[in-house]
This record gives sequence, structure tokens and C-alpha cells, in this order.
Amino acid sequence: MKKTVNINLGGIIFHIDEDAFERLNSYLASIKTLYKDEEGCEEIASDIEARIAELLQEKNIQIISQDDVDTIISIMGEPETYEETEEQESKEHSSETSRKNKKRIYRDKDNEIIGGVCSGIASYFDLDPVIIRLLFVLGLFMGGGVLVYIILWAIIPEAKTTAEKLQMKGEAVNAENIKKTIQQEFENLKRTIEKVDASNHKNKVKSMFQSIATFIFSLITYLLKFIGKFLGIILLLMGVILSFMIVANLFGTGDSIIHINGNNIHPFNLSHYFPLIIDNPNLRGITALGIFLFIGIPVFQIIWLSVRILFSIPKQSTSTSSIMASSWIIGIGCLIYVSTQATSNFQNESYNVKIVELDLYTDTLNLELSDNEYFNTHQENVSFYFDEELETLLSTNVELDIKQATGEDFELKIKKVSNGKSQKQAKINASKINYDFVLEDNLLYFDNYLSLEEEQGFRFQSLELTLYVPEGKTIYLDQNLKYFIYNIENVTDTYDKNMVNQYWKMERNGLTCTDCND
Amino acid sequence: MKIENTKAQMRKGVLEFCILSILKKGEAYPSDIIEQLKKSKMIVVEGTIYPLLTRLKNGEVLEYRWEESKSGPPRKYYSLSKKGEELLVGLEETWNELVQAVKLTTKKSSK
Repeated sequence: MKKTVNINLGGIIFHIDEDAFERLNSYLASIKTLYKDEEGCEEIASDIEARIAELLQEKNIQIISQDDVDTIISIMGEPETYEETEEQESKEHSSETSRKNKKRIYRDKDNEIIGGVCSGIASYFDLDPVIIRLLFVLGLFMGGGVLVYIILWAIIPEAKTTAEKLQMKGEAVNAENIKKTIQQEFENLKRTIEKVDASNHKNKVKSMFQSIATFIFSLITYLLKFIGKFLGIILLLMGVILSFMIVANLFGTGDSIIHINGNNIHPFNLSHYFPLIIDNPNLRGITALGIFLFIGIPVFQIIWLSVRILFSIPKQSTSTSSIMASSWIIGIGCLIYVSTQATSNFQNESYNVKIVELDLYTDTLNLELSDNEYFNTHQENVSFYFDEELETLLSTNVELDIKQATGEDFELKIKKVSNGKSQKQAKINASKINYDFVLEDNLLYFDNYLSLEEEQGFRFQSLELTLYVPEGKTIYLDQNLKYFIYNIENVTDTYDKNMVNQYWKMERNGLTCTDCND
Repeated sequence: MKIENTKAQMRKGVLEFCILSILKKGEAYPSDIIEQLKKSKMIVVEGTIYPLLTRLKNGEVLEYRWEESKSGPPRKYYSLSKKGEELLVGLEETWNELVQAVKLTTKKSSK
């Protein structure tokens, strides 16, 4: 017992077995696929349908079986065979015919929830759309899901025609099909050999070799295609990660992903650092746009390229790529404009000096860095930290020098240096630098950082400390001053980093080490 | 270089010429055309003809009219357009020249 269906073919009703119907349906669909780019596609298909109807009617049978359909198809010919005799331009690529049955990705509008992206991907990989949707929902919580979805939505074409819908559901890229394709290739090879055999006896051996060479070549092509897909996956991952980072850095709050400087963990978040350099809010917008275009477009291209490799989507049109290229140049333009504007804030340098007298009742002063929650005291490089609660920027651009005092007392000179739009502005900026140190008995604790109010902005602020030591007095340099002191002159010309952990006495001719082992 | 390709190329140009020649004798519907072409072994499978007819029709070489059929779906009867007739004259000329040229060259090379 078999199930039959009723079909209307060229205006005539037929009863047809279900399996025969499937066969006939896929035959007609493959014709439409073959001529989909042609003007008269629908017409060709309906002419062929009418002819099939006529042939079936001539047979005058009650129910059409699979055998009948096979007979009809052998009369009409497989579409690939009329391609061979019909093709207008000579096809150099033998891959052309195989491409026609190949699966391509489309958005599945019939099963869409938003744009059919998930269901399209699902049918490409022969998965349940629910799985893909779940992955995207998870991606949503991680932050990049929406961006990826939008990009995919933009670049994956919608399956509009029947042919495209068939292609969407076409053969899956799995091991079995690969075997099938290779077998097909082998069949073709055999056929070619036979033909060559028949037509040319003399060159038989040579042609055999040629054919084998072609076969090996096509095997290599398959292999390369696989490597390509693999690369595509890697590129896609890269693109997704990069876009996460852009989003997190440009628009995110809270802790971010990039860390600079191994010593300390600095939440490095661009959205905090812009305002410090660029005071004009309009400029900030331009900067954000510039960075977004400058970095975003290449990332977008990477994602697009990977999707194209993965799903065999043809190259984007030249107009799209020229739009991309020009937006990227606009991005560069924005950044150049902003940087010229921003550099005007750095044009002049000025400073502000304050001298503090240190009241001391002993002859020896111990120098040390005070511990703080922001920076490691053994840190060599200049680094920054933005404190969100206090809205202040902290910088370790502070250094200490030691010189001979002219008077009888210890003195600390604090020189605050800053840049600014004008000389006057630079001086104001300098005076607004905050710096702390603490003197307890014979212990002098330095902070290894300076701090700025957020609205001050970053203007290359730095701090130069000079400790004046009177003749005959001694200082002790703690280990943690190693990178804090800078170019201290002494009698023995000892390097800064070797001066720590020692007592130094100020003699008439300069600092002299009192406990060094020479 | 594919031998099959060359053969297909040769046959393709001639096939159009044959269709036009059949239609010169009077209008015909695809099954008639197919039958004649099959008899002369110009085509192997029927499907070949439909895309070609459509292309010729779109190229304004052919015209058609619908006719009801007692036994099946309505049929398209194709006939030559004015342009088609002109084209056929041109093709006949070319064909004769080609036959002549091929004859000459193959004779020479076989000597």
C-alpha cells in the first residue's frame, strides 16, 4: 500500500505516488535552480511542466509511479545534461555544475522569529533552530550577541525563491556527502578516461596521467576548502572577540578586558580616558565615531570574510566595499581632526614650585614610599589609574632627586609641571596637581603617585621632588625607592638603583655612602 | 580542453539553425519540433529544447500563440517572426559558407 497525492501539472490533475512526487518535485526544482538567473526561468519551467503533463497523459495510467517518473526524466534529461549542450559560454570551471547543488546559507523567512538568521544557520548545519537561538540568547547576556546577529542579518541574503529555499536546505556539508562528491568526481574521471579512450588511442597513456593528475588536483581542492572553512571559524571567533572588546571599551562601564602593565591591574576603559584628554564633548563624540569606524570596519570585514568562507557567500558588491573603505577613511579623518584639536591643549608647558621646610630633631632622615591601594611600590613604569568613586586620575609620574641644602634645615621642593593651551592655563593646571607626603619623627613617607580631579583632564602632569639635605646630615634610602629616585648625584657616582638600602651622608663635596662595602 | 565542450558548442549553433528551419515550413509546437530533431539525432533529451525556445522567443526571433488541446494542456505554437526570417536567411548563408570552408580545409589536411 502506498500513499498517493494529487498534483496539478500544467493544468491537469494527476494521482501520483508520494515517493514519485518527491522525485518529480526535486526534478522541477533543479530546473528552476539551473535557470534561476535567466529572464525566462518561470516560462521554461512551466513549458517543461506542460510537456511532462502531456507525456504522462499519453501513458494513460491511473496512478503515476516512481518508474514512470524515471522514464519521463530520462526522456526530458537531467538538467545538468542540457546545461552541457545549452551552456552559452564555455565553462572553464568544472566546479560550476557541482556548485549548483551545493548548499548555501540564506535567512529562513518561513521559520523566522526576528530575521530568520538562526533558522537559516540551523538549516545550513542541519541542526534544530532552537539550539542556535539558545546560543544567541546566551550571547546576548555576554554582550556581543546583538551585534553578531545584526551583522549576520545584514549580510546573509533572504531565501526568496523556491530555488534559494531548496539551496538553503540542500545537501549538508557532512562526511557522507563529501564521500559522494568524491565518488562523483571519480565517476567523471572514469567517464573522461573512457571517452578519451574511445576517441584517441595514441594518447591513451598520456591522458590517463592527465586525468589522474586532475583527480589528485580536485582532491587537493577539497582539502583546501576544508582548511578554508577552518580558517573561517578562527576568523569568526577573532572577529567576535574583537567586537566584544570594542563594545566593552567604547561604551562599557565597569571593569574591562584589556590590562596594561603586569604589576598592577588597571581597569583600562577608554570611555574614562577620553574625557581626560579631550575636554570638548563634541570632540568626544567625533573621537568615539572615529575609533568606532577605524577599528570597527576592519573587524566587521573580518567577520564578514569568515562568514563568506563558512557559508560560501559570493563576494560583496564593489559599492559595498567602497562604502566600507570610505567610512574607514572618514574614521581616520575624525581621528586626525580630533588629535590636531587635542594637541592644542598640550602646546605650552609651565610649572609651579612650592618649598616645604621639614622640622626634624634628629640627624638622620629615613626615606620611604608609603603603601597605597592603587600602585605597587616596586613599579618601574609610569602608569595610570582612574578612580571612579573619587573621579580622579592617578599617575605615577613622580620622581625624587636629592641635593645639598644651602641652609641648616631639611627642605622639600615640590615642582608641579603641566601642559596647557596657554602658558597661563598650563600654570593653573600645574597648581591643581595634588600630592601628599607624611613626616613622622625621622621618617618621611612619599606617595608614589600624584592625583588630578577628573575635570582637570590629563595634560602630561608630572611632579619633580627635590629633597635638600644640609651638610653633615644623613639620609637612609629604603628599598622601595629604587624606581622613585631619579639621577641623584653622589661622590661615588653610584647608580640610583644601587643607592637604596644604604645610608648616605651629605658631605661638603656631596652625598657619601657611609655603609657601602667597597 | 574538453572534447565534449567543443561538440556541444558546435551542436548548439546548429541547433538554433535547425529549429528555425523547421519553423520555416510552418508553425509548430514543441513536441513536433522535438520529434523532428530526435529523428535527425540533433538532440538526445527533450529538456534541451525548452530553454532554447524561450531564449529565441525573448530574443524576438520567435513568436507563439496558445492553442487549446483536446487531449492535454494548452499548447504553444511557435512561428518565425520577421526578425527570425531575416536571421534564418543569414544563417543559411553562413551555413553554406561554413560547409564549403570545412570541406575545403578537411580535404586539404587529409592530403
